[in-house]
Amino acid sequence: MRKTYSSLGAESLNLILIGFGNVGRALARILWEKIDRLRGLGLSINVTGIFKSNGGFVDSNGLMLGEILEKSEQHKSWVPGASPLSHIEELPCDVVVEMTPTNVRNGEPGVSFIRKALEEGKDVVTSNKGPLVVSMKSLLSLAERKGCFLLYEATVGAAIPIFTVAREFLRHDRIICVEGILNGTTNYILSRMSEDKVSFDDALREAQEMGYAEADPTYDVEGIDAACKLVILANGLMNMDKHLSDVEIEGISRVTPEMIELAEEDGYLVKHVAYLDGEKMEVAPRLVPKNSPLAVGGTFNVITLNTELSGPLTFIGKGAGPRETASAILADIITIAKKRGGIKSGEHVA
Amino acid sequence: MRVKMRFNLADEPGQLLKALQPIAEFGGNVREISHLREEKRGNMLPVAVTFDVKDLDHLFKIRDAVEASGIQVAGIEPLMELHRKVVIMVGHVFATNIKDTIDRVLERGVKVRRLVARIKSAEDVSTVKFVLEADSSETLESTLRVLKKVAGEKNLFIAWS
Ligand SMILES: NC(=O)c1ccc[n+]([C@@H]2O[C@H](COP(=O)([O-])OP(=O)(O)OC[C@H]3O[C@@H](n4cnc5c(N)ncnc54)[C@H](OP(=O)(O)O)[C@@H]3O)[C@@H](O)[C@H]2O)c1
Repeated sequence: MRKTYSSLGAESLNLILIGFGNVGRALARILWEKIDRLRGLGLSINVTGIFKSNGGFVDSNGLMLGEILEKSEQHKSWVPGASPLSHIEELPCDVVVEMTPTNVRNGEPGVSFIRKALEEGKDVVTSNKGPLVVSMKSLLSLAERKGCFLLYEATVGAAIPIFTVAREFLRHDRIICVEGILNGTTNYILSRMSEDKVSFDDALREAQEMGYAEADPTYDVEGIDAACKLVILANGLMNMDKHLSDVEIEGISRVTPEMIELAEEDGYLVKHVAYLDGEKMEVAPRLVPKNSPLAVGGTFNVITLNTELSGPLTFIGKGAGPRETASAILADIITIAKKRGGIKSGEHVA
Repeated sequence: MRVKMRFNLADEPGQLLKALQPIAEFGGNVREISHLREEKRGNMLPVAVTFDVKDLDHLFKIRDAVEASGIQVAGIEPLMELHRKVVIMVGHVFATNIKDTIDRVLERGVKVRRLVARIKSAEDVSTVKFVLEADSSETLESTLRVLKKVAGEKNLFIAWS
């Protein structure tokens, strides 16, 4: 038996947020800003718990998001040391939103939070790649056993609705191969090297100054982040059971200005392309024709699905950013509410 | 394989469609249609249709079907398809025996149409572009696999189109 959320009025959709960093805060802000728009959809959202590494904000009647964003740990709802694991059982909660840091070695702490939520029969939305890269198949089958949703649109390409398109629009079709640029930092570096003839090291330093790249950029530059996303695409779009070790990975740190120049003489750009088909998964520097849909600049991401019936479908968007990521999370929450009958489908707010 | 088939069609509506129908029906993939107006003689207009077929049997089946529909086939010519791939390598491309690298490409029936190198000094890494051509994309793909392996062995960094 599937549970349903009642639409409009008395009952609301209760959320627990785990992780209150860039993405968690952006989500809280959007929930706060868009409260009327969501009500217009017939969706009244209550956040009953927000957890960080050292404690949480807790109120079973619903937290005042505006106040918490302002006062942070000074807020009266703050409980030092509170752990999400026990509160998932205790607080009113329909959907757990998991936004803790990515850990591609063992997926923790995300895996434990997601597993606990599903075991308690809660739907889950996550922006965290770690748990999916490490154990996507087993988490998805746990969700299925429990009759719960586990949605993860935000993990790849932030607000690019790639999994939603596949799930809602391409059920009848077959995805033959997927290619794309899945990391904004490396795309920024390569775009700068090509457009303004700066060296790799200078472009990287710039990306760090702009806040695109981490202090330790290995994860982006060596292609690991893109490979993680490729694993999620393989499993999510093509129903595979892939892991990071299945991806052939080559980074971009050895790209030289001469390579970019020689490529341009023949009409190509050097791009860090992720590729996936039934046989092969690969992240590598590639020569992409200048007029190809993959030739996007700046920090943009792009994903092309090559399908049997629909032909090639290409999606371009900001691949990261707290608000874009939070937007994808909210879209997943709305999808769940809709499937649970909390929102009439086709409803629009002006 | 790509072929160009020429017809002499009466210059009136419906004629071209009559010629194209059997091609489409038998799975010939039409790439280009050109009306050769300057070669028009009387009411007869030569038209050339370029399309892809699987093999000769497939081609003859289509030709027979076209002629069965009452259209005269004036000629068929095969078109050479040239596939091309650009590969750029960075590293000690020369010091790791570039002749051997090239030989391993040539072995596979692929032409090195152009080679461009940027060399700074003997100690520095060089950047070398190979423009490869072959008559099938499969040959190029298998050559690329060889080149990736060679690059791995020789610690060369590689990007390809
Ligand atoms: N930022 C983006 O643009 C973006 C885009 C797509 C996906 N993502 C993914 O979204 C997730 C969140 O990203 P972010 O940028 O918001 O990261 P972040 O700023 O580092 O925030 C992580 C949050 O998780 C909390 N946390 C860590 N360990 C915890 C634990 N054991 N229990 C409870 N909370 C814990 C942290 O607590 P403290 O506040 O106490 O440190 C912090 O609030 C990551 O997996 C990231 O890869 C981010």
